[in-house]
Amino acid sequence: MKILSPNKSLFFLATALALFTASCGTVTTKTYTIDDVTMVAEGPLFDGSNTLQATVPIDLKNLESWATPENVEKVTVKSITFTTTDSIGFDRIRSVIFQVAADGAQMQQAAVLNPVPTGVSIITLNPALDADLKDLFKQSALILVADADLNGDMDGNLEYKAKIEFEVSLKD
Amino acid sequence: MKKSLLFLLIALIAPVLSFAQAAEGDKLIGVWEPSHGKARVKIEKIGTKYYGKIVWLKEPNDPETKQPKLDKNNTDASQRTVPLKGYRLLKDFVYTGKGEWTEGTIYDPENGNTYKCIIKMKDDNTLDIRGYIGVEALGRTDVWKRLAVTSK
Repeated sequence: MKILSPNKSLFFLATALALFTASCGTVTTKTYTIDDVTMVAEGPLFDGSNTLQATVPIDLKNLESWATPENVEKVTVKSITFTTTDSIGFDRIRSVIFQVAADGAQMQQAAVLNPVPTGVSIITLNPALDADLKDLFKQSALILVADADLNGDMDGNLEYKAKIEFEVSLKD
Repeated sequence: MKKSLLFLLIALIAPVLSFAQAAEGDKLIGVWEPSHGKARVKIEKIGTKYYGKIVWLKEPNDPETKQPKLDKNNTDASQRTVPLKGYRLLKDFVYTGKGEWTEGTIYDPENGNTYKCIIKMKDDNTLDIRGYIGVEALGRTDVWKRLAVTSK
């Protein structure tokens, strides 16, 4: 059996280590914020679940100049808040389920609030801890979908402003 | 000249065919009742895909808590307060032609499992909903009926 010289062994070890490190890459975690998005369900609306929707483009360059869809490693929901300027606030809403969809990826349930408190003009939803929205963030746009359980019928539109923070892990 | 005419013809026909395909896919939109009759599911289009949510439950309240039923079997404990009424159990169906919608999933609130699913329209008011694990052969089919729209 041929034994390598200490110099050669060190060289192979260093090369293997370099290759391993390169394959691992560095993971950077950043917060991607979608703010001031108007979500609307057009009336007339009926008692029960009504869907509010909005489409927002995704630009990973807002996180890092080098970021591309291939760099997206993991995406979780950090926080979701809805605000309304309507005088009745959220008093007519029993619950809100929030989902994120896209044409090229599967819909993910991202948050819920049940029951919705009365007498408030801002609500914070409970994020889904197990949801990974990685595939959705590889698309050019997200479809935000909120199912609001309405108490009674309503003639006008249901309109909320949403602020969503995602925690995005990028691998270089 | 002949080639140019052919391209022009294709360019003119393609959008029409695409529109016709979309219109055919939209036949799925409506309110449907599974064979057990314990729920009604409203199917709608979001983006280019089809999704279905529970809009009616025969027994809306949990017999133990006397409160509206929740998704208590969800594998994600943080989402067990999601009400079953309003829950999206059909997700991401794409119309592939010939009365068939594929690539979707169906969620069973009874056990918290999600299955791959194919929808086939037998006639305008009847669907075969096949949920399966892995390959289509290993699954179960349920027949759903469209709820007739009645004018008041």
